[in-house]
Amino acid sequence: MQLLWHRFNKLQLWLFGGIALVLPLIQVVQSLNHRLLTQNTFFDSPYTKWMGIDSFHFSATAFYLIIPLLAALPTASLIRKDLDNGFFNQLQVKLGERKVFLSYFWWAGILGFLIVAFPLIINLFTYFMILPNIHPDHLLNSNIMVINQNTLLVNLYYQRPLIHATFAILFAGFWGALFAWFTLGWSLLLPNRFVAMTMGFLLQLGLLQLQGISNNGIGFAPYYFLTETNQLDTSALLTTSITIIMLVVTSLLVLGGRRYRVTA
Amino acid sequence: MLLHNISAQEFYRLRARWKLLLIIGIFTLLCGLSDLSGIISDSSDLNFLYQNTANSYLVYERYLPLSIIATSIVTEYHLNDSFFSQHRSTLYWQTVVQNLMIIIGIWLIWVLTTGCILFGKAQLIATKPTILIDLGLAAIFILFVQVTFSAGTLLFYFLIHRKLIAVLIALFSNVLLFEQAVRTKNVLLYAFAQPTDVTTRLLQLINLIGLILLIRLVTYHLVQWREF
Repeated sequence: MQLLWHRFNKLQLWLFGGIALVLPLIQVVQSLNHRLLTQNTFFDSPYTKWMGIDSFHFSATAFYLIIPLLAALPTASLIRKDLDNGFFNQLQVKLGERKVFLSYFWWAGILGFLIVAFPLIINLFTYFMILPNIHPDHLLNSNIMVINQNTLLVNLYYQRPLIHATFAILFAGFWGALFAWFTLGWSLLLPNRFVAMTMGFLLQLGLLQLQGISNNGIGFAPYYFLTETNQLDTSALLTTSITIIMLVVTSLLVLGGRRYRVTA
Repeated sequence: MLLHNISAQEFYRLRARWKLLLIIGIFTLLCGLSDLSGIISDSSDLNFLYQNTANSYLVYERYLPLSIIATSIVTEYHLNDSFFSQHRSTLYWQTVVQNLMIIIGIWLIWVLTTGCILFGKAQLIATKPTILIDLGLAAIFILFVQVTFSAGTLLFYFLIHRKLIAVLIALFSNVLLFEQAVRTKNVLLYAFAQPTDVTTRLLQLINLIGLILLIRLVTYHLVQWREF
């Protein structure tokens, strides 16, 4: 793992982190206004304004739309590049195929997780520097409509909002890792690296379009259920099922890709 | 002659990637069908029909991202061709032709799908047939919006040489423009969302074409100067 860390272009990683931060910072700027900063009429807190809960600004919702592209940015298709230029084979001679492949796999996952979770954490903590840390109340903050139809573990949200937000960030980060592995799998199977990098995003768009056609009230696209509170109705069973299906599909893609491109 | 040769060559190259085109076609078809529930609702209001057909939210959230991604996937310049033709501009024309072909393909599928759905509302449309002109102009406007975004993506691609970052810049711009359009209703690229008279729409179209030409001109000169 450490050997591979030296292979990364650190400046590029910072640049990608900066790109991922664009929308979360825009969302903060957009949601701040004079009334909020001086009077706070609606008893707003970081938990009612951060981008996981904000469905009023498109910069917030768009971040969840482009998660697959962000997750693919850092290292998801690096393995393919290194297979093509021979660096992978050189490492394989020294360390063994399994160890090298796992290094690429774990780094793709870790950086996919971080590039999604890090901007969300920055966004939440920026609000902590601006707004008071008060617990949301289901009557005072009824304007944000956090109810059990559109939010999982809604009791936890009103009792321990920070833990709820942390769960939301971890879940979004986990999906970031899933999308990164999804890209890694496709990058081994497809000849075109760019197509592989956009496959996660195409999946997201496809699910969104199916959602539009089906007119289903429960959101089954990651775009909907990765936010802390859903724009549509939510279902724990459906969210878990989609996550498990994605986990299985990603595992098959990665294993298939490894067999097709690495061990063959 | 050069442009004619490039067009023919790119057409055959694109045709060879038929599996990819098929996937993009299916996605566009699904995008067109997403309009279904809005258009076939019981409402007899023509304004409602217009806004559900030229649905700016659908265009922002699904149609434009699909168009941006699809054009970026097919964008591929071939340095060898510019050596053969002894023109640097070959690289520029190649990418422009690729983009236009895929954009027109996507647009045609979307327009035909939406058109078929609109047949279900023939009786309502018969009460004011001029709405078809409004919808037709809105559809042409959306085509030019697609071209604007693809021109912008191409500009950033030639500028930074990283396709995914160029795509992300285009997607971020789309978000910010839509947000602005929703708040002020005064953004040229999302002007199609509101019905307006034919003269105003044509003027908006001319402005949009001017913007596209400007971006294309900058890209052309960038290709002439850039190291490859």
